[in-house]
This record gives sequence, structure tokens and C-alpha cells, in this order.
Amino acid sequence: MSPSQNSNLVEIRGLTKSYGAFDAVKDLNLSVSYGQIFALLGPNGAGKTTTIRMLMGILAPTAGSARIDGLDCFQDRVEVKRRVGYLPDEPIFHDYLRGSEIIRFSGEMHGLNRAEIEKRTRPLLQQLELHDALEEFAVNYSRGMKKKLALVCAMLHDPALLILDEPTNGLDPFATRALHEIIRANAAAGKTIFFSTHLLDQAEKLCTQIAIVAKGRLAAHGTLGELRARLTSDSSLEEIFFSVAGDSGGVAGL
Amino acid sequence: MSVSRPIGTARTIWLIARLALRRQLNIWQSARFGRKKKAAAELSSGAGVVRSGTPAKSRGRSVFSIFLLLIMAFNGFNIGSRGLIGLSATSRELDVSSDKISVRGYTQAKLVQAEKELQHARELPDAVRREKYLGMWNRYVDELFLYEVRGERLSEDDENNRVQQMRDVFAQRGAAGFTARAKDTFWVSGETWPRDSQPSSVFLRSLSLIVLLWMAFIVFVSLGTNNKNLGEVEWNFEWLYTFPASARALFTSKLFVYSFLNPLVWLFFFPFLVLIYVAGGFGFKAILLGLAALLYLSILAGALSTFLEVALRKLLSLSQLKNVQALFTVLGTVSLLLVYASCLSKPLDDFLVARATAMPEFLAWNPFSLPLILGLPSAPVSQMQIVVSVMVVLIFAFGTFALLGSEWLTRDGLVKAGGPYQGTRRIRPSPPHKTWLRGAAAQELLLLARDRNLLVQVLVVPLLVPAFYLLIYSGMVSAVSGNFRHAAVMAFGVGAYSFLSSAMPLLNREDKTLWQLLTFPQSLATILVKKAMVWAAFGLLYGGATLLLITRFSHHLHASSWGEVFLALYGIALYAFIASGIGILATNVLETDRRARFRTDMVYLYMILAAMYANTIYSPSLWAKLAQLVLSTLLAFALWQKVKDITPYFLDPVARPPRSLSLADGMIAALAFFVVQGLVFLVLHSVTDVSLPAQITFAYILAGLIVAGLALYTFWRQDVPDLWKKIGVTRIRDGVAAQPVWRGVLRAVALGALAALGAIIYMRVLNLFPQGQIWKQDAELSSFLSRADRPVWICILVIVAAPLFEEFLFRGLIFQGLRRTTGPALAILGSAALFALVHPPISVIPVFGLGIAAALSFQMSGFLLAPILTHAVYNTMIIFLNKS
Repeated sequence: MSPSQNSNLVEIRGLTKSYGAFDAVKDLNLSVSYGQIFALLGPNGAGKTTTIRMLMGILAPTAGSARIDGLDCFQDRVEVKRRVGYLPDEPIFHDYLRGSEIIRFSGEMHGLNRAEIEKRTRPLLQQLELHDALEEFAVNYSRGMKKKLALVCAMLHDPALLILDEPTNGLDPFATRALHEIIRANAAAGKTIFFSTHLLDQAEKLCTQIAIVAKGRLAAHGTLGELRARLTSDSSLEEIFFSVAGDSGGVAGL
Repeated sequence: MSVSRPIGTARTIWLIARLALRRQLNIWQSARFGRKKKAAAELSSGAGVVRSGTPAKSRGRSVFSIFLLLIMAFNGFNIGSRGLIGLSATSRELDVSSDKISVRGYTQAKLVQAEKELQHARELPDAVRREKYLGMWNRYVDELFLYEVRGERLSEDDENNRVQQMRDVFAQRGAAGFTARAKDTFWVSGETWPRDSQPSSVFLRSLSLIVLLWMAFIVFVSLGTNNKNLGEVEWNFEWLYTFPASARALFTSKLFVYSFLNPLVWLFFFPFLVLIYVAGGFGFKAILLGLAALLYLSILAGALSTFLEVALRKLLSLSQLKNVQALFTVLGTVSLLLVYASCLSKPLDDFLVARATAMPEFLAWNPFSLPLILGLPSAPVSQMQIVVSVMVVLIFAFGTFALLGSEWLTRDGLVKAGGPYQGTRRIRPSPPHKTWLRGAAAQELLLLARDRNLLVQVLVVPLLVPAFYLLIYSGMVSAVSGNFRHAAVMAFGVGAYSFLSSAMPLLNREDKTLWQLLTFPQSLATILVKKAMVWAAFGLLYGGATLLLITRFSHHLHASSWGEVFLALYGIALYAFIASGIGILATNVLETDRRARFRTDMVYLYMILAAMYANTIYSPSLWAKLAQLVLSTLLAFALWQKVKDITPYFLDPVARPPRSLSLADGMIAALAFFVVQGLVFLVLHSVTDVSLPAQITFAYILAGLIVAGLALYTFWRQDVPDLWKKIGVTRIRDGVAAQPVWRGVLRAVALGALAALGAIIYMRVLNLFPQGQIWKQDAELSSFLSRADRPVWICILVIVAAPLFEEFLFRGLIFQGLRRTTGPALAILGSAALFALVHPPISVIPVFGLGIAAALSFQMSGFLLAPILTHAVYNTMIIFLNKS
């Protein structure tokens, strides 16, 4: 393993994904080191979800590579998933399965035994206030509850990296606050969080590092301070965002 | 200020119907038959790139679908006409005094003749000649009876009894004891509808019962199997409800879509109705009349479906709806099976006619049989006018009832209060967790236990179909209990059939929850294998239970039957993996339209394969069984190899595994080769009178041509890169290219000669042993090796054409496919073994030698011409040198 792979948990080099003539992600270079809270910011259609799906080995990159812990996200996807917990934008569950059963299934697929699953789930459920819905079929959950359930599943195996796709979409203010606390606590425990969002204040509040993508390309990358310094003024993230993503960025991406 | 303008009812219906039709057309359009178009715009960056829909991965929708559509339409006609003809015969028989045995017209005529001849023979003065003629004619009469009885699908005992009964009647009363049945025609004609008043009316009443079954089928299926969103949270009707259109317009459009846009109705019901009017003697007008009847009945069924759907949605909770849907699926299937059973089975026909006879005549005047009255061959015009006007009134009555009823039901809102959050939130402790089953398998079982829809489809429907066959073929019960081979085939059939709805849609069922499986540190293929194992266990359970039941009630399981038991059970386990493998490859998980997600034509591919396997259980030859066993096992492995290749790319709309020829392609081509060969042989055998070896040779070569052509077409359409190079038509490796071609040619010839020499020596050695000679003679009777009546053109075909196709299949596809995953030595041995397996046992050893020689010459020269040459040299030498 080369030193550069050791120092960064997530290493994205020249990552490109094309659908025919359309480039959803073009020549993306990013690295995230251990213990960071990293936000991938961008307007709708900028390529955030595509990037995340390539990190999860769901999509194969057209060119370039994404590595997590030195492992190729597509080639070594099985190993990668031991280290990663994933929360999709819109989790969909089997009908006829209860929340508790889905959690148990997830734990078992990660090789945990029942006691371990129980032990690891309890505090998470408490924090997310999901306790009383566990014996309900998950298909009947509201969107926010589904998201909480998927988050519990993602954190069951204590992953080194949490990949969250628009994590607070559909969550109520209480759940959003709980999620923020979970993210901070995880980062404090040395875990890395990689999340995508288009909520600027959320990114501003939480993260240590930010990348802004627009039209599939990296527009800016660095800590909030670095971005500010580059733009000379003491601007808010919102101003930074609009200046790098460009007014047309949102339109072209749609 | 809103710019929304109100639109009229007619416009609403038009818009919605157009939407539904568009959707239907899009489904059909997704079945493209041309080659995938290359992305027109080359990769360009920056502004100006218009994002079109992401081009889908071509899934190679095949010629197979058109073929199937034709077959299905033909089946609609065929089954319908057989049903009408059978029904017509049965209703006519009612009129005939029952002490006469009814036989075919041909048989009756011949019996009259035979009676005369027998009479004549008895009067012969010469005792010897008398005996001879009497014996001859009696044998002839017996043959007539046998021929008559064979058509009725009875068990052997019943057949003998019936023949004996006929003999007795003939001995006592002569030809007068028999009566000619209505003319046996394959097609329905103007005479099919009985003309005499009593049979005609019985025919009409029986038909009205069948039409009632059809209606039940249409309504239940449109609410059950077809209507996937009946039991779902999102009802697409809710979306339509958000538009500024009146409820009445929306319900009308729903009725319209239900009535006219159901492809099943057009494919199956329409032919049946047309045939009814053909039977009534309307000639080509029957098409118009059939269309009118179809529209009328469709509107009635559509009105019922619309009202039922709204009522169910409104009155039942979500979980109840799912159960109702499951019930409807079963009822719909049973109705269709009953319709078809009544068409194919004589006992059921009798039952139906008996019911119809007992039924009061006025019941034939129910709304659903009115169009049938129009088909009456001799109805007065005034009656017709009444019928037509009643029909028009009924259309409006049903329509109005459905619309007003639906409106009344939804007077306080479309959806039952509470939306998705209905049902009480019970906090129950989770059921005790069984530790012996974990993960994927446990989840599959849990889902099965909870989802009654799935339970019915997976565990109940597979039992209905064997039951259906037992119903049609009454002889099957005695056959199964009389012969253990039948029992084994039955067990395999039940098991393999259950996979159609359990193992095959394995991935399709996963639907949108697939993301979750992709987050686990296990490869998707591994998870899918575990799920397939669950269904294999269920199939084995079914097959095993069938075998146990049969042995418990009727047999005699002797030692020799264990082979069959093994074949049946091994086959079930194997076909679970073949079914799931085919099913996974046939599923496009990215497709959001449920109907397009799964390539249903692959179901038929699976059924053909399973039928081939079942056939080998019957085969007396141990060799054929072994070959089938090996071939099927290899096929299962090849399929799963392909599954492993593509699973990582499932959710990626554009990327795909590096395209190449896989072992699976070769295996499927090899299997197809043998099916097609058998079919061509059957056709030739019944059509031409060329010699048997000529037929075999010709079938062999024609099959090779067809399969090789189709395989090439498929690869070409799939855009396999470097196709020619991969098959070896042009040079494969550049490393060998330095070699001059003539050396490859020389080597090929030498190898072919060597293999032929080996074969000839082998034959000579066989001749030394008496057993070997018998063996050889047996083989020569039906094999290539027989030189008797082999015209020159056949020799040319054997030398030129056979090597071409065989080498393409076994070296171009299978050897190259194996070469991808194994080293050259294993690939040479494996391809030669397969090549040998599919030949008759006598020639296995020499053909194995040829296989090795051909593969070697391919491997060494790197182009396909070399093994073709080797093979041609071999064939030439065998034909011309092996004379003595």
C-alpha cells in the first residue's frame, strides 16, 4: 500500500461516468482523510448521487477510479462494504417485513450474531426514537421513518466510513438534530462521514471539508476556511456556492 | 390567475386512453429487433449537450418473442377450434340412440365394407381360403378398432376393454351397431354448429357456459394478476384524480382502458369468438361479428372490473386487498384452465353438455350469451333485431351502473380514510428467531410466510397445473400409477414447474429493495445462490412428496426404479439453478415497468429445456441419460458463470461486463442444436420418403445451419467486439500470425488423418469381439456409418457442411468459451468430451479423438478453418476408407 492510500480513506482519481454522450461525472478528483466530515455539495443533477453510487460499487466508472481504504470500489466491492455504511436518498424496503426483522437481516448479512445486533441497535433506536415502530411493517413507514431505519442498518456494523445520500431529506427537525448529533459523535470517534446535500446551512454547520460539484465537475474543494480565503471575502457558504456552481449550473443540470 | 381550462369528458377519455395505449406501444417498442444504434453524437463536452434518456443496455430481445406471439395466436385458434368441434360432436351424440357406438365416419364406412367382405368370405367354398380371408378381415377390423380407441387417450386396460366391447358389438350386430360421428375436421367450418334444433340449442347453452368462464377469467385476471397496483399504496388512479377532470370522466376512461386495452383478450378471446361465428356459417363476416361480440363483452367485463376495483379499494384495507388479489389470481387461472380443459378433454365436454342440457333454455338469454344467439345458423331476423337492441341497452346499463356505482362509492373521497397508515400499530414481541436459518434464506422464507399473494403464486398455482393435466388426460392417473417412469417424470414436472413462479422470478421479486442487498459485504451472486437453494428445497419437497404419494398408493418401488428416482430428484435440484439462472439473466432490474422487467419468452426457453430433461427420464438408453445429466449440469454452471459476470453491473445503466463469448452461449447453442435437429428430423420423417440416413444427415446439417445462423445473428446484434476474431474466423492471436498459413493447413490435414486412422483401427478392434460386432451393426442401422443407400449429395454434405457447423459450435463457441476460464489442456479435453457426449455411444471414442485433434489444430493455428479442415479430412476418410 502506498503512503497516499494510507493517509486518505477515500481517494477519487479522475473519476468519470458517462451515459452515452452525457457526462454525469467528469474527471473528479477528491480525497477524504480519516475522521473528516465531508460534504459533497451541488445543485440537482450535478452528479452527487452518481458519485456516491460509484463509491458503493453500484455503478462502474467509465474512467478513473474510486478507492476506499486502498480498495477499488468496483473491483473489491465486497471488501469495501465491510468498511462502509450506506444510507440511500430514498430507501425502499420489502413489504411484509417488520423494521426489527430488516435490522436483524442486515446484521446477519454483516455476520453479526443476535446479541451483537441487539447491543448495537438499542442506543441507535433510542437516539432516533424508532422504538415503537419496530414491530410495524416497514413499507408502512413514512419517508422519515424509512430513512431512520436505513440509517440504523447502515451503522450496525460500526463502519469506518458512513456514506449518506441527502441524509436529512424527509426528516423532521428532531430527527435532523439527532442525525447531526450522530454524525458528530461518529466523527469524534474517529469515523469518517461522506455525505451529499444541497442544504448549504447543514454543510456549513457540520462539515470539516467541502467539495462543490456542478455539471459533473469539481468546482471547488477544501475546508470552509480555505474556500473562503480563496474567494477573498468573508462570504457565507451560500455566496461561495453560487459563485462556483454558477447561476446556470442549476439549470444545465436539470 | 390560473390558466387551467376545463376539458370535456370525451377529451379526458381520449387523453387517458391515449396515455394507456402509448404505454402499451412503448412496451412493444422496447422489443427492438434491429441492431442497437450507436450513440449518434460523439462524446462532446461543455454546453450544447442535450441530455437524452440514458440508453438502456441492450438485452437482446430475440426473434424468439415474435415466434412465441405467432405460436400463441395459433394456439388461441387451435384450442378454440378443437373445443368447438368436440362440443359439436358431443351435442350431436345426444340425439343418437345410445345403444350404438359412435365412431369416426371413416371407421364406420370401413366397417360396412368389412362386414360385406366378411359375409363374402364366409360363403367361399374353399375352407383354406375362407379361413385366410376371414382372418385377414378380422385383423383389419381389429386394427380399425384400435385406431379408433387410441385417439381417446385411455389407459391400456381401458383400451383393451373398449376394443373387446367393439368386437362383441360387431360380432353380434355388424356395422349396424356403429354410428358415424360428426365429420372430423381439424378446422371449424360452417357445419360445426349442429343444425337440428335440439343439438343446436344444447350447443348454444354449452357455449354460453364457456363464455361465462371466459368472462370470469377476464375480470379476475384484470383485477388479479394484471392489476399489480390493486394492493399497493400508490394507486395510479389517484394521480389522475389530481387533474381538473370530473370523476365521471375518469371512471369512464378507466372503463374504456379496462375494456379495450387488455392484450390477453385480443390474443385469446377474440379468436375464440370469431370461431364461434365461423361455426355458425358466417364465413368471412365472422371476423366482423366476432369483433362486435368482443367489444360488447369487453365493455361488460370492463364495467364489472371498474366497479369491482373501486369497491374493493374503497371497502377493504391494504392487507385485505392483497389477499383478495391473491384469490383473484387463483380464480382467474382456474377459469382459464377450465376453458382450455373444456376444449381439450372429452369427459369435461360431456360434463359441460350435461349441465347445459339440464339448464333451462331461458338462461341462455343472460347478458353474456346474447352475442352467441347471433351465431345461431337458423335464427329469424326478428329475433336478431331484438337481440341486438337488447345488447345496446345492456351496454348502456352496465356502463351506467359502473359509473354511477363508482361515483356513489367515492362520494366522500377516493381513498379509504387513513391512507397508507391504516391498520392498528400492534406492538407484538418478534416471533422467536430460528437460528438454523439466517440471512438471505431466512428472509425469503419469512416473506413467503407473510405474503399470501406470493404464497399462492409460488406454492398453490404450481399444483393447479398438474391437476389440470390430470383432469384433461384421464388416462394419466392410471399411467402414473402403472409405470414408475411416468411417476418419476410427474415428480420432476411438479418440481420443475414450481420453479417457474418461485426460483425464476427470484431477482424480479427483489424489485426496488435490491439496494439493500448491495450494501452487504457479500457478492450479489452469492446471495442469489442462497435464495435459489431455498426454492430448490421447496421443489425437492414437492417432487419428493409426489413420488411418496404415488408409491404409497400404487407401488412397487423395485430396485431398478432408484435410477429414475435419482434422475427426477437430481433434475429438480439442478433445474432450480437453471431456472434461477435464466430468470436472473432475463430480469432487467433497472426497468421500472413491471411488465418489461422480465423477459417472459425466457420462461418458454426454460420449459423447453425442462421438457428435454423429462424426456430423457423416458429414454431407455443409459447413454442418453448420462449425456443429458452432464449437459444439464454444465448448463447450470455456465448460466451461473454468466450471472456472476453480470451481477456487478446490474444497477449500472450503461456499463456491462466485457462482452465476450461465454460458455453459456456455447452450451445453449449446443442444446438448441439437438432440439432443432430432432424437430427437423421429425418433420422430414413425416413429409419426405428419402432414406433414414439421408434424413438424419439432412436434419443434422439443417439444424447446424439454423443454430449457427441464429447464434451469429445474436452475437452480431449484441455488438460483441472482435466477433470474427473471437470465433476464430480470422486469426485470434497475433503471436501465431507469423506462422505461414500452409503450415496450419498441413497440420490440420495431418491431425484429421491421424484421428481417422485411430477411428478405423478402433472399428477393426471392435470387429474382433462378437459383442463389438453386434454393437457396431446396431449402430450402423441408424447412424452415419451405414454406407448403404448414401447418395453422393449426402457424402458432399457430410464432408463439407457438417464440419462447418459442428466446428463453429464446438470449437468456435464451446472451446473458446472454455478457453476464457481454463487453460488450453482442460478446454481441449472438455470440448472434446462434450463433442463425444452428443454422439451415439459406438462412436464416442473415435469422436473424442476427433474432438481432441480438431481442438488441437484450432489451438495451434488460431483460426477456425483449421479444425474444419481436420474434421472434413476425418469424415472423408471414414466414408471412403472404412469399406470392409
